[in-house]
This record gives sequence, structure tokens and C-alpha cells, in this order.
Amino acid sequence: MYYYIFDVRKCKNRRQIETIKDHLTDLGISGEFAVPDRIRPARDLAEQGVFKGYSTIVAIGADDLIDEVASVMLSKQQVFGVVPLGASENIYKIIGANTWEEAAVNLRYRRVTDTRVGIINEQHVFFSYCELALERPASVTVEFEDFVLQAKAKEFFIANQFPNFVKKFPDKLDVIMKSVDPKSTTLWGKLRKAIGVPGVTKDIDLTLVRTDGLRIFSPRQLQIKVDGRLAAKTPATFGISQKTIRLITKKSGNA
Amino acid sequence: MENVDTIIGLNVNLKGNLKNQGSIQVNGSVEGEIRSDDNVNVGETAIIKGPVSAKVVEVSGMIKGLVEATEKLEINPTGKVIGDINVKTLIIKQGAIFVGKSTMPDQAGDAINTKEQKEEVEEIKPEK
Repeated sequence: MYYYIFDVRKCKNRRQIETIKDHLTDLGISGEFAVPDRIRPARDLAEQGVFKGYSTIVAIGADDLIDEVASVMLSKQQVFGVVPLGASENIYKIIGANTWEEAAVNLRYRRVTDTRVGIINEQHVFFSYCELALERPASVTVEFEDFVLQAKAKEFFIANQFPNFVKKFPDKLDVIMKSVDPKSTTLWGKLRKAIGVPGVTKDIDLTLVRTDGLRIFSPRQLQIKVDGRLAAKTPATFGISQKTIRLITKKSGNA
Repeated sequence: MENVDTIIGLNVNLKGNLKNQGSIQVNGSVEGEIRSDDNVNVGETAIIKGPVSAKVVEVSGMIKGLVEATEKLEINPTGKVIGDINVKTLIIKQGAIFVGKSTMPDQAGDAINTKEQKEEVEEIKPEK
């Protein structure tokens, strides 16, 4: 019933590998384990698990493994489970667990949530959010379906699920940007900022747009990171999956 | 600024049509149409060149274009509206600037915006 794709490199030692397997067995959800490598990457193993007829495919590892398996699970009837090891805080929040042990308990109770994911360049999947790596403000042009935005951005996020941020429109991406005065790098711009503009309140440099998809262009190439890992570079297109993943999350009342 | 669905920030330039984006707060510049079934709030730093259509429009910045509000248009002291308006309720605060023609539906829902229409109403009254 359960097919585990286990990135053992994320375990502290060999003992932890056995601890995890024993814990799953104690919960009554043991199954077949497969370890991805260069010859058989996680994506191929996930396809294999589906082909073999397993009803639940589980990724045990960090964000890169989870995203890779998730890309296969889109629109599949099989259920997708996650046991985070060395994963970002976002993943833990999305599945409703604080530790890998709690995530394993979630697998047992099998509360399934239909979840959309974000997609970069129709290739890279992200569960939570991605960001432009901006060490200094950069000019960006953002193309939406009916309009175009231009700004000098100091922070730029595209969120499918932003932890601690209530998603009002589940079928849309949240595009969040903090912009700067294009002239702020000049001495005069800095002086204006230091003196201040009367009547201007804080945080009016925040932009928020909800969308199905967007494209980002920039004069200089910018890195796009997902959970701190390089995923793509501008120019890039972003969208939200029309298909969903049947993701196991925390069932209310779990011990 | 609670429950705002879309925000266009300061120093952001938008070209195109902003439609079906829920309630909207504009602090940057917009060239194009803004259309909402909810509220549109034009901040002090905002400049909008184009028509604005919403349920409630509150202006503290500048709009150059037609403004249509099915419930209310409120122009604050720092606000400027240069263009015609078609609104149900109009509030212009001291210091606000409005240059244009105003059309407002009467209680029956018909717009009264010409002297001739007013004269017709006066003629009907004596017969009663």
C-alpha cells in the first residue's frame, strides 16, 4: 500500500534510517522502500511506484526530493505523503507537522487534501513559495494577463502557500513585492528619503496581486530560489497547477 | 486598510486594465482602466490615468478620467478628480479638487443632469 522514496543522505546516521523504518512499521504503515540515485532519480521511482499499483507514494527527505516527487503526483489518483527530513519550515507547516515523527502519524490517519502547486517554466514545482534573490534592488517587469507592472524591487515573492498567511484565493498565486524609489540610489534620492515626504504612511511600498500566471523580465539576470535552492533564472514564467495533488495532511484530533 | 485584495505599491507603474481583482488599493501609478465590484482606494501618492469603476471610490491622490461609483465617491482633502463622474453619493471634502461634470441618479434611478429635465419635473407638479 505504501511506497517510500527515501533519501537516506538526509539521515544523520545509519541508525536513524532503521529508526524511521521501525517507526513506520510500528504505526502499521510499512511498505516498499526505494532509494533514489543518479541512475534511478526520485521522479522515475515515483512513476514506478504508481505503475506497481501502490495507493500511497511517500517522499522521505528534503524539499528538493519532495518537489520532484510532487511533480509526478499531479493529477494522479494515488495519494502523496511527506515525511520531512532536513526540509524547510514551510513543508512542515503545509503538512501540519512539527517533526518527522508527527508527519509519520499523519500518514497513518490519512487526511487527504487536494493541493495545488506553483510551477516555474512548466518544469519546476514548488509547494510553498519562490523568491527572486535580490542582494540589491533590481528593475523588474512583470507581465500579467491584462496588465504589466514595472518597478524597482527590493523583495519579490511568488507564493502558492505562504506559511502564516491566509490564502484568500486557493486557485491563484500571490505575488508580493516591495518596491523602492527608482532614484533612491542617487545622492538626491537618498536625501529625499532621509528627509521624508510629509503625509506618506509606511508600507505603501507593498504590492500584492493575485493571478493564475505571470512572466518576469529583468535587465540583469536574476536568480529564482525555492526554499533557498536555485530553481531558475529570469526571464521566467510562473503558474499555478490546474491539476491537484492528493496530499496527506494533519487530521484534526491527531495525538 | 483591511481586507484589501489587490495593492499597487508606491513607485510601481501599471499599464493595462486592472479588472476582477476584488477590492483595490492604489499607491503607485496606473495607466488604464480600473474596474472592481468592490471598493477602490486611491492613496495620496497614487496617480491614475484612466476610467475607474467600483462600488465605493475613495480618492486621496489623483484620477484623470471617468469615475463611476455605484454607491459612493469620496474625495479627500488631498484628492483630485479631473474628469466626469457618475455616482450615487458624492462627498467632496474641504481642500479636494474636482474638475468635471457630475451625473447622479435620482430616487427613481434616472439621471438628472440637464436643465430641461428639471423643467419637465416642475411642469408636472401643478397638475397634481
